[in-house]
Amino acid sequence: MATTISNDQVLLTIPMRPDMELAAAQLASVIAESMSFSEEQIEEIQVALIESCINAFEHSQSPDRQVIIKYIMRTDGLEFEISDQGVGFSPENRTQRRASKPDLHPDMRKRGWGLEIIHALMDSVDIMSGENGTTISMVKSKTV
Amino acid sequence: MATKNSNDQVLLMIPMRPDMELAAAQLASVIAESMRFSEEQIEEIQFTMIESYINVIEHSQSPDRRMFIKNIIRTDMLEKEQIRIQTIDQGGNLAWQLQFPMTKCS
Repeated sequence: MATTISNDQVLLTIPMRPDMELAAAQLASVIAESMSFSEEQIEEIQVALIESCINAFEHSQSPDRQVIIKYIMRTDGLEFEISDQGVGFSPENRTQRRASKPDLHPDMRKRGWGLEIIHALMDSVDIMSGENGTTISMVKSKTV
Repeated sequence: MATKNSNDQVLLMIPMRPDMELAAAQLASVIAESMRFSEEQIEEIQFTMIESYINVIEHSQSPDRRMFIKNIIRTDMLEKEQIRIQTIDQGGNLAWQLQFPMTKCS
């Protein structure tokens, strides 16, 4: 029980297993609803969180096969930190690779858009990645 | 029901705030659904989750309301037979341990 959280945080640890991304998204949904986010915003949060989790499941190669999600309830919005202890990646290289291959086969286009979707749905996205893992921090702001 | 590794556990740490019991219940519901628990069983799991959360809040006697509940939902997905929920206060004391055996569908 060494881990502690403050009164505005929820901490969830999920195994990299089917449907666990849905559990994380559903938890986000209830928290966002309690903060009076709109239905549309809640859907966007859920999709962004599902994409983040699936990215970690599929690409992190994390030895412990776990993803840790911190939900931070701020006065101006809801922040998420999705962390794994995998091999990491370079977000810059990935963007360049995407830009250099505009003519992908249609089937290929269906996959690999997770980060773009996350950027489109959330108000701010920050990625820290290294050899000890990856943390995606993303914020959904409340709209007045 | 020894758990072989952490890959069949979901850990949730939540503060004592309004609606957090619903968040915990919803999480348990999704996990139970993915394990093919029946609708009736899922409702029972949700209800019990909420009750255990409220009980810990009411009896924690935390003066600053800064105690937290840690739910360990052992899904035991390898066997797909039961869910075990442990509610633990911030001091590491086991407040509740609930076990839901799964009814086998014929």
